[in-house]
Amino acid sequence: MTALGDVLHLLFTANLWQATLAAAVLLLLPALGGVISERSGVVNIAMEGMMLTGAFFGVAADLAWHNVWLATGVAILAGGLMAVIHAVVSIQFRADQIVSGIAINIFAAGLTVFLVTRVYGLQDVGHVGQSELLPNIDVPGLDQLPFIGQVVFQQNVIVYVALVLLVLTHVVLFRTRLGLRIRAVGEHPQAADTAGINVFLIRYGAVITSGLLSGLAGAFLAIGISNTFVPNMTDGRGYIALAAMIFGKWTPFGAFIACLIFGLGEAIYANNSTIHISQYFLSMLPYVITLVVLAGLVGRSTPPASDGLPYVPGSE
Amino acid sequence: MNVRRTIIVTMLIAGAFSGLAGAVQIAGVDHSLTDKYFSDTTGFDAIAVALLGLGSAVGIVFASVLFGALHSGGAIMQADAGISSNLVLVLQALILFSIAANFVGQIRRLLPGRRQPTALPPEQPPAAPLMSEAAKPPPEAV
Repeated sequence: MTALGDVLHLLFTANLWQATLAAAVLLLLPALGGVISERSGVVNIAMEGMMLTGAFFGVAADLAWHNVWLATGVAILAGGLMAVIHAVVSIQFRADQIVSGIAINIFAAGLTVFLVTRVYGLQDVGHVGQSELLPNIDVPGLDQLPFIGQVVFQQNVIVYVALVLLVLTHVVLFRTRLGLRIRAVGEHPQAADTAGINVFLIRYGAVITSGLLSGLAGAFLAIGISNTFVPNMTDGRGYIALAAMIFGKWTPFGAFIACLIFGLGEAIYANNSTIHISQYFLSMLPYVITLVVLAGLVGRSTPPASDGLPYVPGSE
Repeated sequence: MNVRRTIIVTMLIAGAFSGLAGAVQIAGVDHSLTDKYFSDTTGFDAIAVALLGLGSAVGIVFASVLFGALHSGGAIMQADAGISSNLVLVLQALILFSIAANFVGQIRRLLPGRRQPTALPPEQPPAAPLMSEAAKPPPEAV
């Protein structure tokens, strides 16, 4: 009973929810990228590799130029470049998008560790100074609100950026002409093509956007939450973001709710000092809950009709 | 044919095979459960191997031997020649890209010249049986 009491006590601390939101945002950025990419009809399981590439180049740029904003830009571009590979292979060459995605992930894992050993000699990249990390920003006035102030308004700058991007993605996808085009291309590219929409252009744009967002997540991980690069530091988060996207039925806000549930698991795992039951068991719970919810309550989760199918102009 | 039951049974078989692979690794190779299992990517690599084998059991044997040879060869390459074993991952990725994208076929199609007229007729015979197959009702639907 004391263990249960400890958990309940932990659930009412603002620290836990602050950590939950930060962990959720780390998943939300690639998940948003995945929503955009798959809405346009390109399966993207390469977020893991794009994040990892972004993380490495973010740290490398920050160590070289001592400017965190420049480094974040480099990380975003690095993620975008990996996405260009995925886009060319899966859109232009009509490759199997799952194979291409896995190839990107393997490629990123190998390339980053190879560059670490090549450029920095040993497995140690070096640490970025405290002043050169992505800053935490307390929103003046709002950060003193009880509970909510600490949870929402005392966060890293990337958290605010991600929340803006969440709303922006939703608005663009469901309230603008561009979003309608992206969804049309993902549902029925032949019809979209007939209507004069450039299917290839939309798909390229969507896949590259997902890479840019994953690169930003990599920067947040490496030079925001952490301060160095460790081989394979993304630790499967790209795949979890993929699960969050499916759990959220390919919608930005649905994915965000899933990210919050997964983020809660990670936060409990990190804030386990007050709990006397295995933190491994606790960190497992969100995923078990997800499986149960996905099987029972949410119902079928249907991807866009042409998700994963290469578009061949002139085909039926 | 019961589609749902078939899917569940195939998932069970797939899980059983993966469990067997884990058992072989524990009981035959490592003899203990270590930390490395939590960050091991063999399961993900296996997806790549399955796709590289083009969905046939014999193909998967060849693909897994290729990936296994690259994996263990990388360590020796590092010890003997001083080349980072992580380059093996890059190599694996390049193999996957080129198989998935069918680069050779793409380049051949793009090349102008004498290949162009001969390239078109061979493409039609594979298309014709596929079309006739598509016209028939799929066996599952019966």
